[in-house]
This record gives sequence, structure tokens and C-alpha cells, in this order.
Amino acid sequence: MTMDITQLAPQELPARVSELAGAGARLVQISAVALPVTAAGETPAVELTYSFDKNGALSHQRLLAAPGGKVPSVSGVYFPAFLYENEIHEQFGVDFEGMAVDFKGTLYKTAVRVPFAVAAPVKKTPPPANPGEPQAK
Amino acid sequence: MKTTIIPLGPQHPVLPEPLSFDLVLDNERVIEAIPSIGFIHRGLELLAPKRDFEEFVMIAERICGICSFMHGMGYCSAVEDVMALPVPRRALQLRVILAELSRVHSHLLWLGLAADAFGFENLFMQTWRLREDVLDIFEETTGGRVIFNIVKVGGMRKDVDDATLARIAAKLESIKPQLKQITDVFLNDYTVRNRLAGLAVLSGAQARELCVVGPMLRASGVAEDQRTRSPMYAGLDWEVVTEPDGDCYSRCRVRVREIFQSINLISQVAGKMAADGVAVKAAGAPNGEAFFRAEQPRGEVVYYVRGNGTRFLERFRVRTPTFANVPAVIKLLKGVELADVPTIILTIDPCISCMER
Amino acid sequence: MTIASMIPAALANLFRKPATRLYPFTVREPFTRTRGSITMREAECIFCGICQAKCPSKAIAVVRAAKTWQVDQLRCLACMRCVEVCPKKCIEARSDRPAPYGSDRAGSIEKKTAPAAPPPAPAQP
Repeated sequence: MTMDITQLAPQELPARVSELAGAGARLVQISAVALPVTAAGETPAVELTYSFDKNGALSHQRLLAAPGGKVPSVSGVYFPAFLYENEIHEQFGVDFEGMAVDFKGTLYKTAVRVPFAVAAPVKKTPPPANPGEPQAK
Repeated sequence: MKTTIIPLGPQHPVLPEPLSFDLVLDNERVIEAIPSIGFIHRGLELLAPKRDFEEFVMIAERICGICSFMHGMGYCSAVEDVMALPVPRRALQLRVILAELSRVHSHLLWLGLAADAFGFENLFMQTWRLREDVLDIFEETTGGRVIFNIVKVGGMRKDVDDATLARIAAKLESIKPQLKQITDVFLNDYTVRNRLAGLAVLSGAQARELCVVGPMLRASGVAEDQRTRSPMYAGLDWEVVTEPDGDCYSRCRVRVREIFQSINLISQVAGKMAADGVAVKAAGAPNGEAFFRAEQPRGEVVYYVRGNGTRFLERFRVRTPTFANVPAVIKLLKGVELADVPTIILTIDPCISCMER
Repeated sequence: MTIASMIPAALANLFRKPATRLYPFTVREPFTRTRGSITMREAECIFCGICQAKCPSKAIAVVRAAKTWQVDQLRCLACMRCVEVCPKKCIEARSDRPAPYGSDRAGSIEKKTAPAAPPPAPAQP
């Protein structure tokens, strides 16, 4: 299934979102995926996908939040975005600047902080090649 | 101005699931409503990398008891999209029938809760008694009243033969007179109208701006329904149910009309069933990502699945309609009387266990 | 409505049949497909352990060497996966729920063992 995905840098997000709001698009959802880390316990980079619906067609804006990086909030343009951003902040540890309603980490109050970041998969490194043999992929 | 803060919830007789609001009141008028959620957060999405993707259907179904079938169906459809499985037409038709039955039972449940919210307990009991007939249909075809365990990646686990489907359609037609009697009370009774009309008005433009979905959106005049995008509904005779006024009464009316429409859709599909089997084997493992959107009774639900070629999914995410509608409630609660607060919270049809997973 | 008009209604209700089913004295017949509980025919079981592997709530425990099989009815979800995957089709789906258990869970674990082999026939003289 082909998906309409545009890659962005975090700084480009507010301009693109204002453009979409002006065209009458509806914010469908914001989701996050914790990308694999090289060693357990490391803070993962988080891939954010903002999905918009225009006349029934779904389009996605995708950006990468580096570990410890900040992403500008879109809740000034789309008010419901604050709920998604608070959830992603609590589950993945991404910092959103300027949320309309900020729960400051008390939305879910889980026993383990940032549970999805803690559970990020560890990238398996291929075993070292024996001398004289090519490196296994 | 002296204000009082009172808590509503997390346990409250009208709320099907725990949701908390701190209401800042000036006498009986709400100035601000501060929400608190997270009472039923189970972290089900974290289980996706730990369970075989075919077994994960059982967890997806248990996200919520009211919307259980459509969660299972949505998950399976998203995985089938990723794996490009050719699901047989009969399986898809059975899914449509069970989805529309889910809509009937969910709207009847909501009508009962709405009656309870404005104090009409007898109507609540009568509506739920009618709902028992629908739950009996579920038990007869799938084996369970709430959690069905009938959908799997690749199709359905069991078939329902055409004779049973015809009997179900006939049974639903036969409960229509009682349904009309009960819904007439909701739509025409003087006291009910007094409680619902003119309350929490959301114009079409405001509804779009707040990104609400489902009957909330359709009651404000916006004709958006995810079933229009599904090929399974393309050959059927139906149209999107909308109402122009955008108040609680309109939302009640939209849901009542959708019950009758769903019974009609079930009769239509039951008469045109294909005969090409109910499942294909899900060979291999999902590799890739897909978004799948469906129309749950509460609105548009989005499933996101990402697989990496192993039998364990990398990510599973559900964006439920209640998650999209709750910010609207925070705005709608400003300036209303205290006695109307439960009715307004119920008007979005909150399913908090879906929202928090 | 006056009190006078309520009295005949109240008296009539006193002597009418109850509108609801008097559970547990009358129990409704379950449907054929109702997923109630499981049971196992021990004569056909080969103790392979596939049902244990597939059970999502880990309700079944099989010990192959000792030829024992047990199900914890309180953990069993009646999902019927074991019925589907059993190679000998010896697990049976039942449509009735097990009776309630006390807080000590007594009797909730159903144990089955392989039936004793019949004694060998006496050698022909």
C-alpha cells in the first residue's frame, strides 16, 4: 500500500502545519516509533508521524526527533494536538515546546518513566568476520 | 468571584469507564474543566513486540469491551494490508455484518447511558433489555457476548451459514417496532428534549477545527464517515447520516438513525453473501508499515502497524475516536450548568479504555 | 395517578409471574457455539504439549514423561485455541461455564492422566 509521506526537519513543522490548516486539512493522529538503539539503556531517536486528512485522503509528515531533541508543538494551530504530544512526551521522552495544555509528565503516571523509550529494540550487530572471510551482513 | 473546585469522577454513575474532571465552578456554572486521565492505562501497545502477530489479535480485541470486534478487525485489516493477503470476500462480508451489529449494540448502550445521565432510569433499563437481543445474536454466532474471538489475520475463524444470517436479519427486523417505541421517547418526549436541545452546540466549522470525529462531527452537519472509503460498503444502498444543529439532541438523533441504518445494512449484506471461504493462511511475517482507518461506533479509528519481517511486530498503535473527541469536551464544558456536565461528557460517547489502551 | 389507582396495579404485580428468569434456579440453555469451558478425553491424548504452547493465558500444563495434563479453569479464557491446534482432536469445547469457585480456588484445576494400560492377555498354552 503506497503512503503519502513527506520527510521534514523539526524546524520546518510549524510552517507546514499552518499551510495544511489553511487548506482545511484535519489532524488525524500523531504517532511515534522508538528507533532501534545500539545498546540497551540508550535514549532512542523517535520517529514522529503527523497524519492529516484532506477530503478523505491521508497524508503524512514524518520527522525525526534526535535523542534529547526538542520539537515545536502544533497545538497552537490544532488544539487537540496537545493530548497526543503529552502522551508522546510521557511515553517516549520527546520534548515539545509550547504545548497548549501541559500535563508536565502526569498524564498517565506509569511506574516506569518513558516506558516506550526504555523498551526500544536493540539493533543486533552482525558477528565479527573470521580472518580471510568477508563480513557477514 | 469566589470559585469552588469539585471533582467529577473518576468513579461516577454515568461514566462507563474512569475519567476525571476537576470542575472550577462559580455557583453552578462551570468556568473551567481540568481533565485527568490514565486510570485505566494498561500499556497494551508495548505488548506488540512480545507476542506473535497472529496471537496479538486477542490482545487487540481486549482493548475495550464495547468496541472489541472492530479493534480485532482493524488490527487484522492493518496486518493484512502490510502482508497483502487476499482475504476472501465472504470473510469481509461477515466482518461488515458483525461490525454493523457492534454499532447497533454500542449505540443502544449509549442511549441507555444517556437516559441514565439525565435521570430516566426506566428508559435505560428498557434500552438495555433490547440490547440483550443483539448480545444473544453475538453469542449464537461467535460464542461470546462481549469478546468474540472470531476474527483472525487472513479472515475469520468460524463461518456463519447463510440460513443463520437470514434468521439474524429477520430477528433484527422484528425488534424494530420496540426499537421505534424506545427511540421515540428519546426524540419526542418533552422532558428529554428539554435536557438535550440546545446543549453544547458545536458548529460545523468549530467541529472541523477541533478535529472531532464520528457522530459528533456528523451531528454538526459534516458528512464524513470512513465507511464511504471502504469497498465493502460501495455496493450497498445507504447514505451518511447527518444532522444540522450540532447540539446534544442532534447527536442523539444521529445515533438513533444509525441504528436503523445498520439494521438495514445487515439485511442487505446477508442477502448477497459470497461463497469463497472464510480465511486464507497468513504465510510469512509482516514486513512494512500500514495505516488502516475504520468507522467505529464512536468515530474514525486509525490503526498503525509496522513489521520488520519477524513474527513480532515492531510497533502497533491505535488512535481511537475518543482520543480525538476529548479535547472538544474540555472546550464544550466551559459555561454550562453543573447538572448538564454528565450529559455533555456522555455526548462524545467516551470509551476511556479505548482511549488509554 | 392517585393512590387508589395504584393499589390494583400493586396487587396485580404481587400475584403475577416474575418478569425475569430466577437464576440460579432456572438456568438458560447455552447456545451450541457458546464458548464455555474445555475438557479433554484422556484416552486419545498423546501428551505432545502443543495445547500448552498455544494457550495464551498459560492455563494448561502438560508433563509428557508422567503423562499428566491439567487445566486451570480459572485461567482458561475459553478461547478454544487448544481445541483448534490439538493434533488428536481430543480437547472438547463445551458450551456450559464451570460452576463458581470459592476464594480458595478449590477444585479449579482439572487433572487428567493417561488411563492405565489393560493387562496383557494370558499366553496361549
